[in-house]
Amino acid sequence: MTGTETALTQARHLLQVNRPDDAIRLLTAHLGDSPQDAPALTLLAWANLQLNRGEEALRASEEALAVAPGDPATWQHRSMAFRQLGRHEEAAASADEFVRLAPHLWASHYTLGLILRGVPGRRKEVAQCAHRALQLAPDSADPHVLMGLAYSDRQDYETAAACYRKALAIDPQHAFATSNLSGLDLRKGRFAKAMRGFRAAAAANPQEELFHRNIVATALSSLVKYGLMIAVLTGFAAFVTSGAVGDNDWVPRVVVLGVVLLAWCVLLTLKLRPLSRHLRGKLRTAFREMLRTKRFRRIFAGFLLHQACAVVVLFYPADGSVLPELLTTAAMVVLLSALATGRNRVST
Amino acid sequence: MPLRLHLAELLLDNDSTDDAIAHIAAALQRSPGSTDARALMARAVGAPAAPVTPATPEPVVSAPPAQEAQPTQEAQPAQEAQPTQEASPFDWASAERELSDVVPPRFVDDEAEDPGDQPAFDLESSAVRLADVAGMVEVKKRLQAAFLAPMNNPELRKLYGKSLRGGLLLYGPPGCGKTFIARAIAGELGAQFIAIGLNDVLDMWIGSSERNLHEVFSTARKASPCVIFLDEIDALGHKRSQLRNSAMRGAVNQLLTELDGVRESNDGVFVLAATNHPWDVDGALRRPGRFDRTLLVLPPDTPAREGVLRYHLHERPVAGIDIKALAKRTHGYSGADLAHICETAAERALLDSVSTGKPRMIEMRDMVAALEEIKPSIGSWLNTARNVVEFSNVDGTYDDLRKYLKQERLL
Repeated sequence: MTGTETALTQARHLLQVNRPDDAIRLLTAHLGDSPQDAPALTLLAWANLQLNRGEEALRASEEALAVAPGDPATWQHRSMAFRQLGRHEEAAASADEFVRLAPHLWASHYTLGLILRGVPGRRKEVAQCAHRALQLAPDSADPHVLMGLAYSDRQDYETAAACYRKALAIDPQHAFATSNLSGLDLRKGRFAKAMRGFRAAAAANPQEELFHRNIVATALSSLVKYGLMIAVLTGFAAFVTSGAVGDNDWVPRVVVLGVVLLAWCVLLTLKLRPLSRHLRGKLRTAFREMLRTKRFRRIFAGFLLHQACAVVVLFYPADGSVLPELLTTAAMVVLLSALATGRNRVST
Repeated sequence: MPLRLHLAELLLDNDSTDDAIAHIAAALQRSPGSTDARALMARAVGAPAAPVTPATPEPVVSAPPAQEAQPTQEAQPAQEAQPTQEASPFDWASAERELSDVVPPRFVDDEAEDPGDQPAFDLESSAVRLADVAGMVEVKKRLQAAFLAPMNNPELRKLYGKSLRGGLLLYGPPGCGKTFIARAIAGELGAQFIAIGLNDVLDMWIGSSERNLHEVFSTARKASPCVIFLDEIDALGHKRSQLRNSAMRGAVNQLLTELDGVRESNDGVFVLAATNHPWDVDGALRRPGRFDRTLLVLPPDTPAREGVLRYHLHERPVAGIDIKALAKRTHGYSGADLAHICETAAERALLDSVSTGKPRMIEMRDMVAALEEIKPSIGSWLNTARNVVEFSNVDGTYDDLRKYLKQERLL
């Protein structure tokens, strides 16, 4: 075996065993001697893709294509590099070329389908790509997952779930199928089941950041939902207590406030304690990011207003004024309208 | 191979010599040691045939038989290893010259010497002892209990029915001394040491990686007592479910076979392995009788850091270095990081000496400046480990690691 073959064989193997750094070291040394070696450049592109270094992957694939423009794998890497860089139109063009050069490979249709999800004008073609990939590789789990994504994008969640289940029947450890199925559970508000699913996906592929984000999103969604329930009950309890007890009877008011605080403590403990320190850090980040969205800002503002109203009503003397009723009703309307726009979503 | 040779024979019978030579050349390229192929080539080029050994079934991808490629430690003479070459009157050198445009040289880098006659794997005698490993008291204790005490006390071992089966898997962040500890174990056992990495085993031809592995173990058995150290076992014994390349799956299978062979019939061969990614190692390799004992090698503790710093500074011109203070400030640094700090400090002093024209010692300020410049390199490993421990440690395999990560407030 020559030095070139050895280097390429080892680099290919290192990439298969997820050691792109080592592969890059090997390939860089090899390319120092043979800078125009197209297979080495293609492998270098693959290695950089594994490290999410889109720019470097694109550069390597461009160099490889300059030497060997007909290599399908290089077009695939180029398309994935563009995708990593968020240049979806160019990614789709490269993936089209990949399909043209290798129409017999299911991976070409699969890659194109994945990329087209990010191209608004061509989303309808995703199902077509998934269908072709399935025709070529019916026993592979990935095309089923892509088909599930296509149905999910069309909001046909039942069929999407069926596709994910088929993928899991083929490969029970398929992390993305597990995660996507759990995403559908979360959409239905099945927090516990969704959390189990996301954790299973993370167990199958612990390094996938997407699953961590989904775990955090589930915890946060659950926290928001039950927090809002506590908020509504707090308002109701404040209204009832304020009307039922005497103006100077503070004990029931303090008890209600205590119960509310206790409920919050229990909720936070139940939802945050199972999360590790690192996930709690992500949750804080996610919360800050959510606050940047208009929808969540409305929910949060409604929540704060409602809680402020509830406290005012709870401790406001019931002297026949309509202020408590007005405050409670207004806050409730804000809260419910915010809730009505809220949906549980995760990344797929 | 047999089919290609048969075709070549038929072509020769039909006087299609050129075609026959092309096929034989292709066969020889795949299997340079095949006597059948050589005999046919000799016949094709009109030379007298070399003596042919009785026909034996050819492997799919043949190569010089293991015995030829891998002499024993006592190094059999080359002529014993390849008797056909010596006995044959045929001038192989001139034939190879004639066919140089048909059959490429076996080894591009070294055409003059055929390493088939050389030991493929270096046997070393390790002079390092556990006492040379600075600090790491806990690691040494665990090594003693899990590995060395049973090895060094055969009678007690027999009394307690303690088995010697199985190897030891060292895992931990990179640059923290796993290889050094493996050498120290070999030194403690007074055994030869063979260090094997992916480069020594992986071969693009089907079956060659398996053969290489077999040769490693054969060499170790002949050189017993011997420690085989498989570095980066995650690359060599990666989870087969994640390997698309069936050739490498074969290598994992071969490794399992060899480990079982060690268990059954080879006393005195101790297998150690090291990895930064134990979670990528095939589950079958972790079963009882294989790498069933694991040892977490963490970044050096304070005494170990002192030792490492002293080691890297002891041959350098230093003055006023407060090793204890440096050791305290380098919590979380790997041994390799500490070496890097010493190197950087030396570089700084050297540059200063060059610029002033007056040589000066490496001082504490150089060490501190280097320390500020160099950050611990194991952060990404710790993040990876944290994810595994958090989500995949269902069976408690990584409880040691969990404890450490909790101590470091990373989990």
